[in-house]
Amino acid sequence: MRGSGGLLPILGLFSASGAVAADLDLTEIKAVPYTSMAPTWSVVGSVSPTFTDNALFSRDDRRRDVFYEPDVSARLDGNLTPDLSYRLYARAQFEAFATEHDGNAAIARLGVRLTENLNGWRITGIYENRYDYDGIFRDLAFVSNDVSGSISRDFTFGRVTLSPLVLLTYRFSDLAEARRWRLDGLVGIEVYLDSKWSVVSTPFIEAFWFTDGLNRGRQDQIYSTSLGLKYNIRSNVSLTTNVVYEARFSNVAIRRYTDFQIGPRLDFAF
Amino acid sequence: MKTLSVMIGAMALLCLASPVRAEPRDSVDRGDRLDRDAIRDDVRINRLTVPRHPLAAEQPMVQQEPVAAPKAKPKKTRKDADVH
Repeated sequence: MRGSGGLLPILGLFSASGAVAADLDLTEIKAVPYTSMAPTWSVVGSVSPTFTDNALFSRDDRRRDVFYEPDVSARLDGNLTPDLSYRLYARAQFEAFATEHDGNAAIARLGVRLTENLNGWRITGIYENRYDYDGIFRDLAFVSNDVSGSISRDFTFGRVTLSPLVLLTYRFSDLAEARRWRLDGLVGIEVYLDSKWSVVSTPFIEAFWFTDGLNRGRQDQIYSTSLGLKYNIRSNVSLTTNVVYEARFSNVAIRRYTDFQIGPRLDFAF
Repeated sequence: MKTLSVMIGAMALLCLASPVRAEPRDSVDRGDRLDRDAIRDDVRINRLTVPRHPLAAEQPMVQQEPVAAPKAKPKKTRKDADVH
């Protein structure tokens, strides 16, 4: 019985003989789609100075100010299958106000997401561990774990590209007041004027249902829209001058506000 | 005495509620504003093209794999060639 092991290579040779080089027809080359499984890394982000007419989100005490907001991510992207991709990322973002320093805030995020491409629709699941700071990474305010699901797709009609997105998130947090459901719906609209210039707009609806602490029962809705002119400096760098108007409605009266923002924003991807 | 205890209770409630109720711009709201900007950023950044990293190995766009012929084609004879 043990001797049968020695027969295997010989049997293998006979089995393989059906596909020796002479039988390969090189004129019948079959092309199959190639999908790289090797992960790639990138650094993306944006920087902007922005003017706001309501720096403190106040209903009654409106204060004008300018804030500087960098948002930078390091990402590792790869494919598990041709239709299933993953992303690991670290993201840092802060707002630094010129005069209203009480408004300064920062966030550090670590996240992972899986995206399934299904007939052009992108179905995504995201887990994000995040750290919210008061000031520019000064005092840790709370730590959260966000679990999200989203669906999105791009539609192109001539010079117009529409990118609708629906995103549902639940936030687990060590701060009871931060725990909540959040539903986002937006459409990224871009109208190409030529190869460099385009008009962009993003109508955006957000709904919040706070579930714990002093915020239990609070429900907010934020309606906003932006309109901007975008200049593509290169395929991976663009400059957009945006005007944003947003209004928050809430069942807690003091939480209602309106805000107007304007400023240029430089986006990059390397 | 009853009035005093009610006032103390009301003061305590106000102090407890102040971190969230009385300060419109608190940590939670600040985080939500940053999230909103992050989502808007994502919409714009997704339109950009990440250039190929200089250290990344060049990958072919299609992979060609030879397939075994089901059977050898008969050789053309001089006569066949004349017919066609």
